[in-house]
Amino acid sequence: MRGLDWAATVFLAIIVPGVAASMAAPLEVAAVQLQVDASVSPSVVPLNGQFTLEVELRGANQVDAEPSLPELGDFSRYIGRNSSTSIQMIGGVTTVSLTIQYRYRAIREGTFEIGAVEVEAGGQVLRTRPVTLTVSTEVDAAGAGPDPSGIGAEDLFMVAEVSKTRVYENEPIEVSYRLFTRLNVSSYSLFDLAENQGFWVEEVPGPRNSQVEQRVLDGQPYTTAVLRRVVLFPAGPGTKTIEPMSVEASVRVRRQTRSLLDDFFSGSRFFPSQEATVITSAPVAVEVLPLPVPGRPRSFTGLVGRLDVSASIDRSSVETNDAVTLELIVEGEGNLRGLAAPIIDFPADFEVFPPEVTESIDRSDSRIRGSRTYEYVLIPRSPGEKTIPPVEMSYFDAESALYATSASQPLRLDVTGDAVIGAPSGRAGVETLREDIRFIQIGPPSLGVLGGSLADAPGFWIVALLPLVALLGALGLRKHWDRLEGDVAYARGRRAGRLAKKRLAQARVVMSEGDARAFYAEVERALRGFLADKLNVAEAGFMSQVAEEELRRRGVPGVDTRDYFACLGECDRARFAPPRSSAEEKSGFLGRAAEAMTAVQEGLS
Amino acid sequence: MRTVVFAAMVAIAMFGTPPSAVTQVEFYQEGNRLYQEGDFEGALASYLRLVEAGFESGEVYYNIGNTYFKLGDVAPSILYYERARRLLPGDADVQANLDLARSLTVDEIEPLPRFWLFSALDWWVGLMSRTLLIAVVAASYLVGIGAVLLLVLKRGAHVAVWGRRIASASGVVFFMFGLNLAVREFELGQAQEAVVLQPQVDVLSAPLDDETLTIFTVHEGTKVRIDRFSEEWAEVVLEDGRVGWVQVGVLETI
Repeated sequence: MRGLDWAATVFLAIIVPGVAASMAAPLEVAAVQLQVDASVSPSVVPLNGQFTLEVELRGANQVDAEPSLPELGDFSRYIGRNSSTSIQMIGGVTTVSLTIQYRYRAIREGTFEIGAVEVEAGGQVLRTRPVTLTVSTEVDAAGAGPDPSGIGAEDLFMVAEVSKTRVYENEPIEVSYRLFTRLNVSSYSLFDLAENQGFWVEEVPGPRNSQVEQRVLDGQPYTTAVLRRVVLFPAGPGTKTIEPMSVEASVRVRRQTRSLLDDFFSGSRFFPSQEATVITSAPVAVEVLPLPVPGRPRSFTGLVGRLDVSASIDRSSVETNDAVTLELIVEGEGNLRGLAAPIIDFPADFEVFPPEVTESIDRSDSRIRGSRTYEYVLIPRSPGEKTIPPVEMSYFDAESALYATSASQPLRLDVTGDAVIGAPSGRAGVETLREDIRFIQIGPPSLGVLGGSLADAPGFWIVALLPLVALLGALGLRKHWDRLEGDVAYARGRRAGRLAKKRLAQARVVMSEGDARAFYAEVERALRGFLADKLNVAEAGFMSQVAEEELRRRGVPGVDTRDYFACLGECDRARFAPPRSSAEEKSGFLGRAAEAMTAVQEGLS
Repeated sequence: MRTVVFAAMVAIAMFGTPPSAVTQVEFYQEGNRLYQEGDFEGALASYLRLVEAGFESGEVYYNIGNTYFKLGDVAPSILYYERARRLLPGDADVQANLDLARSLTVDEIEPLPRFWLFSALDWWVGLMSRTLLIAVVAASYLVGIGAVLLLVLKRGAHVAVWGRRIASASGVVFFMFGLNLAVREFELGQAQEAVVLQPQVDVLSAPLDDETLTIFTVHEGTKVRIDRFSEEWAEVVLEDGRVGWVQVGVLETI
């Protein structure tokens, strides 16, 4: 067999180019009528099934430019293309044609129209008729008509093997895409890698040269190999789907042949035909459980797996302003790449530079394990015995469904030397974390009646008017004082009553002594002085007639003055002939004199 | 002198709250307590009882604004902050919260530049709290009158010089701050302003119910000045000077 195939290859390698060359001349002549057709096969495909868009150009065996295809992206995914040319000579007429096959996978249900394909050939632009494609879940892969390759679903398929279908959030799931075949698969290529949304994907390199093994499945022997392995970390709780992955495999097939010649040219004997086929794994649903809230440590940052924290410093004593390196190693299993940086409470007077992070992840095993190293450079700014507190990191152990914490040992550092003052000790502006309104007023409120004014307040009018009243009073008082000072007549008049009262009091003293003459003299002085002051005339030259005249001129009625002058006359007489009057009479006379003065004063005012 | 002392005592008594307000203070304190406990609904109800009883207070309005803000109602919080600002002009807390609340509204309006003299006047009017202002005005009045009384009644070179100095100084103070107080008490030159409380309001070019007249749209929390009324319509002026008509019902005057 092998020998024959080889011989045929040599034969064709020599003969075919010669034939082709001899046909090149009439070919150019015949290239007049160009025709282009598009077809889709099968016209009804199952979901995730493969279909081919075939563009056939007759009359030319090459295109000027790659045909421009309509947009098919919303319902299909491009797999690949082949092209073939053919030459037919029938009755001396040579027909050349070019067939380009575009292979797609249907990804959405529905009936779609594939628009015109534009082909540029022989200096012309040709357009195909639109074709219709139906994607339906009703038809299954087997019922979609005969597969062009004649490969049955049970001959070649792919399974996504999932380590667990019920996991915690962020717990790794190992997915192996395993190909089962009973055919001769010559090559394969992964063309549609599952886009697993909602997962953090960590690619795991498969074993070298995909270990091929033999397995028996449902009584049938299969050749099987793992094509791809990934570890998925679910990012959140809920039911998640591990999306299917597609592989294009080239399979050597042997067709049912009709004749020996056919058999010869189709190459089943010598050139087993290479059929490309696309196989897709089935989607797998995974239930993702949320991480339990009770018992969650504060230092938990989301890692599910296992952790081990260790810390060390490169020396135990240091001078201030010298650098020390703190190495923090976090080892463990799980999604270490997504691990949040640890929070370390460095002593306040340490200057800390952002850590340098190195990572080594070992993916060789199904479990992703590895370590992360954080290297902090610390500069102590003040001397003393310093302690770097333990660094705690928590994780969730999915197997026991419990939280656990790993902590490093506290580290002692002896800092010697002088304190560095004014060093840039991490000073920074105060950062506003969030904006919020200022707090309510809690002090006593100044309550007012709505629509009320200041004038409603108690005491307003007192405060407003009382000083004004006081001011008016003061002005009156001032005016009075000024008159007393400047106007002698006014001053004497104002003084008259007081002086008269004083003299009457003197008279009462004299009366008790029993000297009648002195008594009347005193009363007379009081009466005279009073009127002299009131009328502002000299007391010495006081004449009763003049005074009477003056009083009349000032409009004092005679009734008021009569008693006064009567008293005055009585005093005049008593000075020369004092009557032997009793104490009662004298006292009564005093009263009369006082009343007479009051009467005159009233008359004057 | 005795008169002056008495007047001063009366002045101090005048700043006390009206007697019926004493029980109202309990609503305020209750509201504060609920606010601090995080019961904003309860605090709001308590504060509003005080307002419904016919009292006004810058502090209470400010707290109501805060409560609305915490409840997520930005537009009423702006309304109450504006009310608080009328009673407590120049209060930094009120201004800060008003600015924050305004930054959360939909409409971003660039205010027209103001003539510097108006800004200076505003600063002058809001310089001190009402209580302090009343105290200053009353004190300058009493001191001034006292100095004049002294000038009238006493004679002497010292008295004349010092009395005149004190009287003129307190006269100047009384005049300046008295004017300030008068502006605030009688709301002189204060335009009527309002806050939009509806989520979205079409502003029309005329006071007619015709959608085709819509010239622009404002959203809740926007402050407008009311220039005039025409039946149930109000002519409003935005801070950037744009003018239009809206239904009175969509506004709440400050």
